[in-house]
Amino acid sequence: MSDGTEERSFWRENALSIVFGLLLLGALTGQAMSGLALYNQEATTAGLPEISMLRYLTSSSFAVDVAENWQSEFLQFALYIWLTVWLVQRGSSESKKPGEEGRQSDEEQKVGPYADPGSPRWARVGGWRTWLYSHSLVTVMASIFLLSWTAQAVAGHVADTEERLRDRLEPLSLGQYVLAPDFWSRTLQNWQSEFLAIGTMAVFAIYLRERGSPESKEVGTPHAATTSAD
Amino acid sequence: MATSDAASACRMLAPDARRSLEEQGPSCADALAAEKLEPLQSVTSVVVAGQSAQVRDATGDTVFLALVDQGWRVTAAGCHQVSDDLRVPYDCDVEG
Repeated sequence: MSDGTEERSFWRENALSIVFGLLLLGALTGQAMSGLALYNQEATTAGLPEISMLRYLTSSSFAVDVAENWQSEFLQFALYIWLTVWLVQRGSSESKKPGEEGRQSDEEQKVGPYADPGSPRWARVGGWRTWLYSHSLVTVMASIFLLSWTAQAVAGHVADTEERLRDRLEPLSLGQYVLAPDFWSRTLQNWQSEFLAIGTMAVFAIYLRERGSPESKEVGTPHAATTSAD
Repeated sequence: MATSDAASACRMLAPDARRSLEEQGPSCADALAAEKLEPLQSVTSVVVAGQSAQVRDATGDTVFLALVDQGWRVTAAGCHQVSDDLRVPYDCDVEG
């Protein structure tokens, strides 16, 4: 009986990450199926045989399509987390209040001697570990961005080489590829949409509401209130 | 290339390249022999990417290949770079 309660509690307490994990798998599956169909359509046009799903999933074409989207998502969040340390948007639930810009005091951040009994150990111990832990979110997000962007460059170079050889064109070196339109077109078309989405989210959150969502102010909170606690 | 060698070479061609030679007629082997292709000398560069590959020899003579159901097959042969502009394709004696 208690096992059932604990199990229900686990699903309920982790519902957000579980649902997004499932949505990710569903979207990746759809991308793989439609991507394979497109790849095979182009291969047939070029007089080449169709490839299997397994071969497509391990191909540079699939890898570059995945990596170019991942890098931009992690860039978006890393940049937003980092910039909102110093930049504010009055009235937005996605922002600190004007006047609170900056890293804040140790007391406000509950580090070192100001740590709570339940604070993470690296927040309590001080020194390099507390410094590193204080920047761990942006560090990890930015690292995943850089790894994904590198993967996009490498996989994109192979995919571009495959296409160029199909067209009897001399392949580009990796250095030439990262300066080529294909690399920057893939990169910037993703960046612009991420910046648009996060920018409009910060502004829309001033005037618009979603009752019950922690990403929104309470419905009755004034537009000028930067957080619901104002 | 003798017509007998050309017949073997035809079997190494990708379907589109083979069809192209057959259209020149009277047969793939005859059309290929007429092209008077030289065998590749010492290979200096091999590039493989996915289902495509390029092999070049010391003279600059280049062959393009594709991975088809039967294995690697030649899609274009007797190819030479005709411009330093990377947007200009190779000029090939045989291609699909």
